[in-house]
Amino acid sequence: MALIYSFLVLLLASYINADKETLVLLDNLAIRETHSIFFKSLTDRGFSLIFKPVDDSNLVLAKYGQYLYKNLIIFSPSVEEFGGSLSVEAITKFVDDGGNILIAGSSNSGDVLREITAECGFEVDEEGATVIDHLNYDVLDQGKHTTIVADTANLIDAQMIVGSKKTAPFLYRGTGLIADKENPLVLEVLTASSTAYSYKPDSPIEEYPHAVGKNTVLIAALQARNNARVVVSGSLDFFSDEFFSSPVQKALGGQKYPKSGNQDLSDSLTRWVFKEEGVLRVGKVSHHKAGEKDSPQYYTIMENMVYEIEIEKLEKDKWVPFDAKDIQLEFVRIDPFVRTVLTRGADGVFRTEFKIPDVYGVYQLKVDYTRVGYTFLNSATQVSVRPLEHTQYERFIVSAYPYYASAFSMMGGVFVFSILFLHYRTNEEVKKKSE
Amino acid sequence: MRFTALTFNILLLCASALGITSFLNSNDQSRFKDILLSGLNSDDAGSLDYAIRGLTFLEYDIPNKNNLCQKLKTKLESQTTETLFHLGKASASLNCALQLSNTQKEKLETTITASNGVSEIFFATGALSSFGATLDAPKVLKALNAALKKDDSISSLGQAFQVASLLDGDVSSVFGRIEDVVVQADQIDGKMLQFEGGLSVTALVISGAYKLANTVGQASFISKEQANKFAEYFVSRKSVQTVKGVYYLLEVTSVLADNAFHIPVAITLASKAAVSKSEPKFQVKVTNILGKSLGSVTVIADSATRTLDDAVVLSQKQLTPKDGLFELDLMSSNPGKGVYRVALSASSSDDTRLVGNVGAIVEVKVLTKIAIEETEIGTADSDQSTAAKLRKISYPKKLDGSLEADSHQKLILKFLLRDTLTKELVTVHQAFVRLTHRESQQEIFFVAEPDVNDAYKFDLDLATKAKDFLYLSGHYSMDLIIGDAVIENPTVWQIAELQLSFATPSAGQPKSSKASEMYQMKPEIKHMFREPEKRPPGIVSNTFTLLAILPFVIFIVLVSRLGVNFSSFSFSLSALGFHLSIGGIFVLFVSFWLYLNMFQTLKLLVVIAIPAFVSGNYMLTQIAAKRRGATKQN
Repeated sequence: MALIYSFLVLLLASYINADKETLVLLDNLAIRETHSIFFKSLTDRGFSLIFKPVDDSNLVLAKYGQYLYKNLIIFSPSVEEFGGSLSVEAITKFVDDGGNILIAGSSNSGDVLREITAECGFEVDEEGATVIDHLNYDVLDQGKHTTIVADTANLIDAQMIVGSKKTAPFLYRGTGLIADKENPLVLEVLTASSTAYSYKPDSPIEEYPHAVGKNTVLIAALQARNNARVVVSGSLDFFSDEFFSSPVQKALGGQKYPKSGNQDLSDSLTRWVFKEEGVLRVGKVSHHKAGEKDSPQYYTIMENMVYEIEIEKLEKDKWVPFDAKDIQLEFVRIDPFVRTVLTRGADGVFRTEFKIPDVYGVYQLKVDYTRVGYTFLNSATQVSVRPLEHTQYERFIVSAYPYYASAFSMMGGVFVFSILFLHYRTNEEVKKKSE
Repeated sequence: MRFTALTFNILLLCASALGITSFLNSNDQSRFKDILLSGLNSDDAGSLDYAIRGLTFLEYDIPNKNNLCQKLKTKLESQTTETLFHLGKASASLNCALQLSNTQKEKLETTITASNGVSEIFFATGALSSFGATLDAPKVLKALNAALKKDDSISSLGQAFQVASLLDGDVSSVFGRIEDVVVQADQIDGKMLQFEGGLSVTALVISGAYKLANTVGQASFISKEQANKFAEYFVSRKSVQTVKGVYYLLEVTSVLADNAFHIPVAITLASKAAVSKSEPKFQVKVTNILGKSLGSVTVIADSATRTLDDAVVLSQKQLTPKDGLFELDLMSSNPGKGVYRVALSASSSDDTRLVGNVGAIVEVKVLTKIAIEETEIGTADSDQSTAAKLRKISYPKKLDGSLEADSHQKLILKFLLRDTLTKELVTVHQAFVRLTHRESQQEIFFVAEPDVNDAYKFDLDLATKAKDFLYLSGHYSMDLIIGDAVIENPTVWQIAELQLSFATPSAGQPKSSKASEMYQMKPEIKHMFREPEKRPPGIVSNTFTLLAILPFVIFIVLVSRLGVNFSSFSFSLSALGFHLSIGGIFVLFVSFWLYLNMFQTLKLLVVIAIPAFVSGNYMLTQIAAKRRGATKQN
């Protein structure tokens, strides 16, 4: 009985508010206290955080084929090996199945962390390497110029990910990331300034550093094709209470800000990575001929078609109509024949009217909305387009009048001639008759 | 001499585990005050108590004491021991003069039995003592020892120490347990000690242990080193956010700041961690864990060692006191640039309680200014057939005009870095050459490397490095970035404008990665409809239409001229039927052309064709018969 009961509780726990279930893996539980503002802001937003040391022998992500968590926070840079059933493969599979991950590294990131990030398209610089910027370090730097000030100008231009508010610069202390430039899904959220580089601060530069200048990525993000999101920061301190509440000022002169922008950015980042922001879905999709209401079984070439699609955005756990001016519709038969912008009507429905091409076949109406920060939106509806029926062709073609005239005059001729031929009386017969 | 300095150094390194690295400064304390003040609005007796007692530790004058007393009084009916404990402690702090009824007192006294567990005993004794009742020490001790036999978890023992510290008489049985507990502490990074359960449990045990030791009048079983590691743990927890956590932290730090046995000392930098020619002195602060001064102490710098090569630049130098701080002129011993570990010891002639006062390490940087000298820039042929053409240029000027280089040439930059203090050539951590393409803002970095004589040389073979530039010829600007942790003037110097031209690659242009394209709007596509074929002009077709109608017209005219007649037409059903249905078929064909489709036409055609056939057959039979009759007559 008790077993069934606990099983039920477990089931309930996994269903209730499943989007907010978050597993937090920590190097040691002290991080929970040194990063308390960060965790508090998450619990205030309704996340249920489960803290576990990263080497806990009972770590599981999934039970009976069902994931216990939707989100994973890995704040354990130095992890050498995960406890329990957790492994790099398990985490990769978690992402493949749509889970979201926030990872923070440090100058002493372990190999496991390196492997996970490599799976996501980022490379963490080698052990001991730290981002150094001799020209943009903070006044509170400990002496090695590794507490750097990252300007807001180096943020990615994507409000969904970094928020719209203009904030103070950010404090950062940690290792550099190298993003795979060929991978379009990897986004460089925050880069270092042009004078920064990532290297071991205590050994002279003998090899070319892995990351130099703006190629040094501080915070990188990935939205996989299945809309799973991953954010990697090379600095665990970025999320710490210390950096959240610290003032920022570049040591070599510069404006003093009473509080760093870290908390604002971390808020925006966690909103994005845990799918509170930038989540879209397709609502009702409909199409019909211009001037009609219901969608027909088929269209005929050169007709005017009206296409309507509802797109909704998640905002504070509610779906509200989305607004954008750059959503495009494609009318595709192998290649797109028509690509046009959808305009949003007063009723919040995106709509467009276009003329079907003069080529018949089976077409798809495709909306493929791929923008930085938003989930990938895909909608495809199949319609068939047939050629004109013979009655639908042009009937009175001036050039064809001779043909019409000859055909009809022939008919008339036959009609008249048949009467004449069958019923005329020759003059002799007329005479005979009159006689 | 060298040898002694080295051994001394090793000794210091061993001792360097001692000493706490920071203290609760005034910023932390004012943050605690804000947290605690927010706790005053709580309705929970526990939070109220923690807030009030916490503020008392901060020596903050609590506003509206009377209101708070009233608030506490309303909760006095409560029956739980824990609530009464909190009320008692809070009212004692506020001097509220709350009183317990006798029944409540008796009830509390009866609670002190082994079967109720340690925490009930803790709350009951705490409540009784704070309401001014006297405790029956032997009875409490007996109950406590019995309860500890059942449950000797760390938090129970911590509470037991607190209880025992309130008792008179022989509490050595509990005092002896301190040793058991302390060995159970977990070490973090070799620097801190904590108990499982975090801040509140650790604070409870440590403050209890010291209070108990005070009661017993005998040093507890906590060693100096352990005391320091616990203290280090407590200061590392200063980011605590809860009222309860703040209270526990303040309670235990106030115990560690003032007790009869151990006082952890924090030797911390009070100035910038860097000295230079213009600011040759650094200052340190010697305080207890709460940031209070320790009275008269003397501070001695045992040694200053450069981290890079372990060179010792000074030893046994006394720091001069100044406005409560201690300062040392590090530059007077002529250290080179670098990071130095300065080992400091504070000692007091009359206070033996200090712990962590020997060999505290502070890191101080000696900064210097760098001058960039003898800079030369120019080009040379890759095959070295001609001598390099180099032009001199001095910082911070920019080269006049622009320097041109093509794929058969090398770009050469030479420079020296000189320490303005020691006038020696030096190397730095960051000596990068940055080339920025004007149009695309693409940046390429190269590392300038020093040779054995510390002279920097950078050469760039445009043929072999073209790939790094993505074969992007054009206008580049060249900057030299010099940076190091120990130089005062990191520099970005725009040296020259370059005009680079690269050979086009043999294996096709490498695709410039435009990964971001997928996130942009795609170009609009409009379908191109097939153009209708060109038609002849109307006049031509109209003419031919007339020509086509002409035979029919001529036919009608001729027929009427010839006077053809229908006189043999017999108005029989078959004749009428035949001609009407023939006409109908033609009308049907016209309709087919106009609007009917083939299936409708065929159906209708069947309907008309049958009567046409039947009536036609009948009519023709009739006509034939008539003709036969006529010939017979002839």
